[in-house]
Amino acid sequence: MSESELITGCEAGNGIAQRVLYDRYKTAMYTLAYRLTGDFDDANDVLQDTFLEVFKKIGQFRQEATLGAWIKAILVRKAKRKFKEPKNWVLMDELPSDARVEDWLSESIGAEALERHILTLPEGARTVFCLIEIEGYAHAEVAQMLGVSEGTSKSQLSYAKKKLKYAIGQSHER
Amino acid sequence: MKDNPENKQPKWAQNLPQYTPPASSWEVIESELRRTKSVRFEPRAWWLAAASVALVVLVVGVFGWWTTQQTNTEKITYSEEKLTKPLTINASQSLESQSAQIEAYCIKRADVCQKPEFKNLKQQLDQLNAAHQELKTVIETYNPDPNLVAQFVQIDSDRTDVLRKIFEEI
Repeated sequence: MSESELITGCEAGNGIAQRVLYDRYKTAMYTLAYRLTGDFDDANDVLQDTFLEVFKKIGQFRQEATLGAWIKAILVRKAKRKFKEPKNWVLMDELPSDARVEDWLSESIGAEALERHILTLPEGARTVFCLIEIEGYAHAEVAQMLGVSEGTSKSQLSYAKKKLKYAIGQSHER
Repeated sequence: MKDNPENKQPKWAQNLPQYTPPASSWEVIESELRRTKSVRFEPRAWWLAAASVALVVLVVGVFGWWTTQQTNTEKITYSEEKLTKPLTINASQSLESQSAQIEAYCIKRADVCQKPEFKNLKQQLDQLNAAHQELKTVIETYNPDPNLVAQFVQIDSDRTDVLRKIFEEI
């Protein structure tokens, strides 16, 4: 089933099309929801709210972005409700923002260990890190989605990288 | 993210663990969708229903207005008039018989005879009739004095005049 067929089917309230769409995006969205909230129950709530809104508002999808990007934007908005007020995120010491994760990420660290370190980051730093480094959003997009300044987004990302780098270094020393 | 067609993730991030939501998650979504579907009236359906109601109201309103206009412009009224045979002066009739005819008419059409103008004329006629009768008796009893005869003719002339006016009133 093509994306446009899926959209048309969901718009008509077709249960099969809704299920296919859910199956196509459920893992990616649930994974992102878990990384943003740091809790499986919260991730489940966010996922359900997201898809209910997707099916309700699918007629408003203008295909300016891909369907996946549209769903992801809804999910981030839903996840934001689980956060503390992002505007209150504390500004962290900035590292050079162009410091790429690949430059300091050791191949020796396993993906699951890296995931654990990511999940230990404070909410603001974790959220910005996930959206920018993992999902590929720009600071301006993240700032708009979360309702924070670009400066806040940059400082949170810097702090996340600094914290991760330190944590990974510590785990190597052990 | 293998199942996301828009995958902008760097290589290192693609190795991170993926999580699958519990099966119950879809069940919750599906039951909620079914529930809202049963109670939700599609916006398009709302629009159509509202448009239909508006159309019916418009048609009924226009029809009502048109009917009212038709009634106003082509008003048909019915009335019933009781016709009585009109009185006519017959030249060959004597003044007495004409007076008797008016008396008979007044019995049938009291409403006409109660009019002040009519009553006034009728009163004049009665006085003239009485004078006519008295003078007639005098002339028959005594020799016909030319003055009396002239007076008698004048009275009859007046009676004729009053009778004519009465018939005009009728």
